[in-house]
Amino acid sequence: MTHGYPDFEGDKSGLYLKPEWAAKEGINKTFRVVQAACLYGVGPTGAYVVTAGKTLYICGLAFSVNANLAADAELNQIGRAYIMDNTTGVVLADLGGNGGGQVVFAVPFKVPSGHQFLYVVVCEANHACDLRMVAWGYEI
Amino acid sequence: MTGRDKLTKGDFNNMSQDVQPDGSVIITLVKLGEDKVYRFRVKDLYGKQEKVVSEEVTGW
Repeated sequence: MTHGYPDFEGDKSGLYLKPEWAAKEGINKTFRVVQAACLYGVGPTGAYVVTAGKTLYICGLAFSVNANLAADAELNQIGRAYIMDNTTGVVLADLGGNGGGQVVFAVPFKVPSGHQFLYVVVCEANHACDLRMVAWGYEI
Repeated sequence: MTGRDKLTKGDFNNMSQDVQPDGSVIITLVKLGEDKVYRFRVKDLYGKQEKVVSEEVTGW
């Protein structure tokens, strides 16, 4: 180190945002859930119990809503997605949209060891939709 | 190691849950740098009646 600055020479050190660092270290986690032909108020729920001794940080989520039938393809494809800590019952984030949506959290949501992380997407259109959702983060 | 073991230990990077019409879920687990895909079908995941119906491990 010279002049108070870190020594980045020779790739010995570097600065990473936490999600990037997690991917580099291989501790990143991506959770995806899918269900076809969901009617209003129905949708898939994904679940994951955080590994003992570790903490899960969720950095973002995205979801998509598509008509199951071609005849409904030009209608509004309304859906809602949310993530929650099912052990405490606390909803961490909600997101709605027409056709889907995505959000990256400025501050990751924390799910403690042993708690059940739920990620849910629900159809709110008046016809059958295919629903997909991804939540991502890292476990450390 | 079974796919269910990998889920318990968090030994994966990507998890996909495909909800089936009968309520069961097909779970696919992939770990970066590991040339295997763990796929199993489970009923009542994390529930009292949890049961792994089928399981397979394939190459990437």
